[in-house]
Amino acid sequence: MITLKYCKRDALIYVSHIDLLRHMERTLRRTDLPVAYSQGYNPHMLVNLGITLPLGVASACEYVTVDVDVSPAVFLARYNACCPAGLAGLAAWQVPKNPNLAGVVSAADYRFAGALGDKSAAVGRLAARGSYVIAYPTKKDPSAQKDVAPLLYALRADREGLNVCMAAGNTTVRPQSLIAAIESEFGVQFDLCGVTRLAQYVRTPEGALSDVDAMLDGLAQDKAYV
Amino acid sequence: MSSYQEIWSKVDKPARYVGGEYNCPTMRKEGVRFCMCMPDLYEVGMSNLGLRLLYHRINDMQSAECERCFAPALDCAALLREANLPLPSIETQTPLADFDMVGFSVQYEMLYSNVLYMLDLAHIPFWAKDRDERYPILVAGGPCAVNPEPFAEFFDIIDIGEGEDMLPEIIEVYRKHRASPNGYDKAAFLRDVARVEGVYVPALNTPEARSVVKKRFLPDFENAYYPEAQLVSNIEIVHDRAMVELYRGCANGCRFCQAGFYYRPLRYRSAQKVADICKGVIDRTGYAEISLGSLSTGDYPHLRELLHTLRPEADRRHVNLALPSLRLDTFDGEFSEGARKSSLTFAPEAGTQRLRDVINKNITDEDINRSLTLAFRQGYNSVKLYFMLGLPTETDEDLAGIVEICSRIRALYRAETGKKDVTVSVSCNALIPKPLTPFQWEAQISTQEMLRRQLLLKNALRAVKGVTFHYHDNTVSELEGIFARGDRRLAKVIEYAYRHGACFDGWTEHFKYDVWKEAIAACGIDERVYLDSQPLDKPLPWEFIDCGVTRGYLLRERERAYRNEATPSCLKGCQGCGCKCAAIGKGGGV
Ligand code: SF4
Ligand code: SF4
Repeated sequence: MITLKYCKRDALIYVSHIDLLRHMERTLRRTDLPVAYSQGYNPHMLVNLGITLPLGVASACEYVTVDVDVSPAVFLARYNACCPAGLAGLAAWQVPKNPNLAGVVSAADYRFAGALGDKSAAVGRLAARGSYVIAYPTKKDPSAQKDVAPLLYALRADREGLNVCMAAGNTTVRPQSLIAAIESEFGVQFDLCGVTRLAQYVRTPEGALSDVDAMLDGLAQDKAYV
Repeated sequence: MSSYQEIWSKVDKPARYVGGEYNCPTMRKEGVRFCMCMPDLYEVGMSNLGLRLLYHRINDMQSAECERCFAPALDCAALLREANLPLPSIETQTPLADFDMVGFSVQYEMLYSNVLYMLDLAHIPFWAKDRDERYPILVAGGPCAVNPEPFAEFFDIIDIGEGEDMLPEIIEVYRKHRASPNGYDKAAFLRDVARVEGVYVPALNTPEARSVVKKRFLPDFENAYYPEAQLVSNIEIVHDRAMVELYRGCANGCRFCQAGFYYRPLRYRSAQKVADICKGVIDRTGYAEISLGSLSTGDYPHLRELLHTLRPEADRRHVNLALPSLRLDTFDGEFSEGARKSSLTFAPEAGTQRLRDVINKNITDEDINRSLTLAFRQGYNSVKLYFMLGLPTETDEDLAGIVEICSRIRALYRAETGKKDVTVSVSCNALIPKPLTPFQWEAQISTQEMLRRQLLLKNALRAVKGVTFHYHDNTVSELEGIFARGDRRLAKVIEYAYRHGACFDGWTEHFKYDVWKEAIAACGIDERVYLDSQPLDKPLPWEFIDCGVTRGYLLRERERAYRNEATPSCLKGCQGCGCKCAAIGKGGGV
């Protein structure tokens, strides 16, 4: 089994989670690698996507696990020969079993590009607030709100933007909602296409955040990267 | 000031506008720059095989590049207008007006308003006469070119027939004119390009001074261009699969069917060729499904051989082979083996044998029984039936025949399986008498009469258990009928309707019948002229186009229709329609 780390960028940032699965299947079919299929009436490729990425957000750290019996080096080379440029592979690990990243990832780093200028110091102090209630519209409740303070783990602002480490996965903060709240409070503007996910984390049994790459390094029998 | 980037980030489904699809060539912004437009949403336009073929065909040329543009959804159009940004191409976000040539593929009549919608958003004048050398050359093609007259004056060039060779030739003529030391002169270019076979230049070839335009087709379909490395959409599209044609043309000659006559002559691809293409397509696209397309797939003489050659590889790669348009009388248990046994689709088109002979749908009641018995034995329990209403000579007895077919299917199912759980879905479309068919002179029945027949059928079908009935509001068919047999006077109707709010007319929720009626009245048009029966002794507006099938043949077929006489399939021998199929020859057979 292979876990692949890949990026999502350019036009591909507008590909939804469901369409992404179709992309992965097509890319893998083009590789003609011996990917395993499910049994039964309507067999499908055994591909496990990681946590979702909101539409319009770029990423340098997406993960997918594929049930295929080849070395990481071969997998990565074949994948990169057949994938859309916007989903280029970065690294591959041979893992003994599906690490179920969609279930265990609990935080991620993001970069929000935007001209913060002199406001950066004030924005940077957000992390210290005991509570930060922002508009968090959902389909069901367009006027919903959410206190995101407990979900913001680290925040560092500079003149050109903001780095945030916050909840992702099953409990999550939508980057766009956070941006909108900061924009309206501080009168700043972020680039609409300037959000990038930089890293994903799992919680160790001790409660610390550990980079998914490190976790996979610990798990893997073999690894390849570009 | 908004940028395109900002607009895309605000619209529904931005992927429609930003490109970056797998197999999308890198643009150098050099040579003749062509923008291929489809006046429909991305998901529909990208599903079109013709667009994929021509797009890659041009991009494979040394001297030209092709980009794409689709009709933006209304939310996107509103933002473009607000920002006063012209509609751009997908690949390099270049405004359409900055291209050398802009091509429109017009798939059906209800897209005419969307052509203007796109031109409007692109800040390009609608009428060819209002565009000088500063504007791109506008080219139209696609199935509607059978009768291009209603939209002819919007375009500089109309491609009649298959574009794979014609379009590159047009581009070549353009390139030479652009490079001319005396400077580019649009009028001189048009005079020159009119000599390319298949090219119709409406400004030079007018109803007052006609010359014949010969439809273009690829004589060697076996080796015709096919891009194995074709665009793979980033988002789900309507036909999200590869399409490979088995052959062009149709041997059956159903008398209502424009495609059946327009795409003649019959030209087949060998099984080996199709299989090779399909294998290449799997490698280069990764699609999970390949549709083996043609007008009547069951008539493909090499189907068995093809499936035999292709299926092992398709199975190994988990690729589904879809066989659309299987005719009832060719349904053969073997072809559907391994397919999901859900629903079976048949198009008897008419309810009685007499009427099927009139329209030359060569299906008998026995065919229906035999095929369905086979199908039920294999486990099918759902049947979809397509019929047409408003066929020439149709009476209420023929409608009763539809009901009877449904009852018989239920009885058959019961006899075969001992069960009653079969569902039958009946869909009825209106006959629209189309150019280049033996019915091109017939009257189209009125919306009122259509409603009567629809209700009659609806009530009668209620009595049969397990049957659902689908039919369409006839107002759309009425307009389609007007434009199908329209002439140049209708261009101003299209313009009026667009200016008063018509667009996306193909989408039921956007179709504005009242606007179109108002447009027709405002332009002083009597719609009966187009809907009534047409005189046999005068040339029809599209008859300056030589499609290969002769007027005499169509007239003969019309007479046979009125005598309830069917005409055999070309596979039993050439019927002498005039287009001289090399694949059939005098002796018949393949
Ligand atoms: S079988 Fe009849 S309806 Fe179908 S494409 Fe051929 S001529 Fe047309
Ligand atoms: S030329 Fe003969 S074989 Fe060819 S389509 Fe016409 S009738 Fe059929």
